[in-house]
Amino acid sequence: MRILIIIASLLLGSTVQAQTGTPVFEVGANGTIATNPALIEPFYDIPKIKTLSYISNNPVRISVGKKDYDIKTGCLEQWDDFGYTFNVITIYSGVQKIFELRQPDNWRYTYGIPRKVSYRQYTDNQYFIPIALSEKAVALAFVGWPYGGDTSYLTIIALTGSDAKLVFNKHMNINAIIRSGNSYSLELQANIVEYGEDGKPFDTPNNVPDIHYLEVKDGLLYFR
Amino acid sequence: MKIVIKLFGIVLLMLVSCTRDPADTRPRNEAPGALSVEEARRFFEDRAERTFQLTRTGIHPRGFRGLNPGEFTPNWEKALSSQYRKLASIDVPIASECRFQAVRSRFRNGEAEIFRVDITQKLVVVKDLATDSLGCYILTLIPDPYYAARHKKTDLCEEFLNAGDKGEFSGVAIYTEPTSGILIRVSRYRNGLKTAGVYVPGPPSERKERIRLAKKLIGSVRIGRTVSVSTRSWGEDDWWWDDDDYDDDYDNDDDDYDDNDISDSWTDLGLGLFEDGCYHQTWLDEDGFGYWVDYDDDGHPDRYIHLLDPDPDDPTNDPPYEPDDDFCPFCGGSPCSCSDPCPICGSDPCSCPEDDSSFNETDNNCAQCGNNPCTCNQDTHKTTAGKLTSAAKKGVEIVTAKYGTVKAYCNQGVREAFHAAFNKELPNVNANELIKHMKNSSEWGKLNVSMSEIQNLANQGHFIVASWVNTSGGSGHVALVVPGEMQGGTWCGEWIALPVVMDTGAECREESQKLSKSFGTNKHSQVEFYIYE
Repeated sequence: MRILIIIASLLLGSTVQAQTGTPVFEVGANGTIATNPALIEPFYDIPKIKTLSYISNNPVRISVGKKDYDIKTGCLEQWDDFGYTFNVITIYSGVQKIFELRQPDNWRYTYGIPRKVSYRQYTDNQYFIPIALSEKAVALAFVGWPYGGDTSYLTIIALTGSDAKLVFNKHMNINAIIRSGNSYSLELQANIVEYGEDGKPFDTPNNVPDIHYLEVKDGLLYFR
Repeated sequence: MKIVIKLFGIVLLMLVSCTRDPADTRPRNEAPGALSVEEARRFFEDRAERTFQLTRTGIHPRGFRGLNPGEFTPNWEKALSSQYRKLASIDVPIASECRFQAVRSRFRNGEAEIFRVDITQKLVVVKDLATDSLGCYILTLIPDPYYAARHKKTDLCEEFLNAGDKGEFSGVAIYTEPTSGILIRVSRYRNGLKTAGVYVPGPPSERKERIRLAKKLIGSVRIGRTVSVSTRSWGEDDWWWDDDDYDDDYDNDDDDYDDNDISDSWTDLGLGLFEDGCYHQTWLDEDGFGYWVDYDDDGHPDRYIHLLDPDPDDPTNDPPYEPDDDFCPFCGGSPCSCSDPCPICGSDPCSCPEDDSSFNETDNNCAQCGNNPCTCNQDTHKTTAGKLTSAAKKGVEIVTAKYGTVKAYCNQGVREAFHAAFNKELPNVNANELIKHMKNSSEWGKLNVSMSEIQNLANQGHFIVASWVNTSGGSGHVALVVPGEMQGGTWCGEWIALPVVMDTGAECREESQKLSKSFGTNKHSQVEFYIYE
């Protein structure tokens, strides 16, 4: 009987692990965010952008518990601006800047761009998609510009009452956002699939969708 | 065994119950920032209070083409904020005493057809973030008949955000100053994109021309207005219509302007002041930055109204007005597709694949090269800039129609454009293989010239493909350089002038955009250009 129980537990454990995936980040007792470096690709490094000034857009306020944060995006001056895009993300607690992220390419507005996918039904601001996790944490998903040859960047910043950190940055298109009852998940695709004139994918190696998921479970965000 | 089953049940229950209700931490667009609803409301109410005290009778119901909504109440609870570049906007639905309709008519098969559409009006309060100056305007949206027919349930107040998403709006956006009714801006949209626009105030020397352009953008339309004092009943009998038919004959001289228009009501008073005979006496300052209004009609100016362009684009970036004689506002087709039932497919409108009317010259094409005139004896495969532009457009249209707007079809876009330009086929392969084909073909050559030379060659009609090979085995990328003006952008970390390209990659269906929008920074140094020689 014990053997049966052990086998059953092992089977269940591995199934749960496969279904749940890897936690994108963890929150310590004092609200500190611990990241998983494997989920954070570095942006292409152009040192020049670190010193460029930028113009901020209208801030969006996010509340985590009793703490308010202002999320400001911005466009680097003397740098590429496509309209409806930005390349700086800053987070303020009051007047204090607690977080800044820059990249040489662009993030895009979540809606309002002609001929681009609109995420308007999942957000009430033009800059990011909020993902509610718990009373102690929220994740903000920023969508990269769709340059050719790559899927767009998906950049996620986590916020707790005392910390803000980049927790996820990968070339992954959002195929779908599924909200059903208490569940919330994003279907992601890591690669570009190319098609022939008949509309069917080319029968070449790696030309099949590489699908992943980001899922909210028990107040945490999991990647699989 | 029962214990095992129970254990299974408990674990499964735990799994099911572990997704608890996440707290609602949706952001609120009410952060103390560039322009909050409260600030917009304070600004509007301050201006309205002073104005209403002066006029006592509220806002005069006339104004540009009688489009002034009369007395109105903004619904601040439903205000929507948007921001683009340095302009923040609060869009506010209004309940007004006036309601408008627009009518277009045409003759078809010997009979007059009338199309009537509802006009939407709302208040927009805008703030220039560079100067912190504010302005408020009545935004009047007149949809094209085909848009109105397909969006009967669309709330234009929500669909069209002044500094944000315009949905698929097709029609005219008219901005007027709410207290004086003065025309400020007219912008024309097609499928959510601004196709032309004009900011009317400006130096006196340009004003008349700007007003002429504004009238062109509004087009042939009659405005009907009904006023409800208390019952809010909008019966047909309540409507009154303009006396004048606003036809499109704008090539005639100014005598054609109707008397409800402001173009002939500005009188030059000297010293850079212009009197507006619209209703309140108004003096526009010389530079068009603002104007003085005599609200109590005592002959003295009472208040200076600073003008601010309510459009988030730089007015110098308004797309130039290009008449599209083929465009039909009734079906939205260019050319018109609302003819009688098609003799081929039997549908009205026709559902046949789009005809190739832009390439009528193929009737006399050379049997060998497929071109007209024949280019067999030329030492290059150059076509013309016009034909290359049309081919790029065709490539985008075909890819969009066949495959939608999301998936990556950069290879097919280039192939379709190539076929449209030369009546020849490129291999039906992915981007990497297409680049390999160009690299190995004697008909193609690799360009090692400056960006400006690449654009020059495209402007002469050369077919040039910008390409990036993915050496790791994943997807590569191709885009066609198209005729046009170069655009400033960042390339390899430097700000330079860049060629413009047609791109049908993932989430991209662009006939012309700057090169840096097609290739990310990590690929810049590896992008190569191939010319069809």
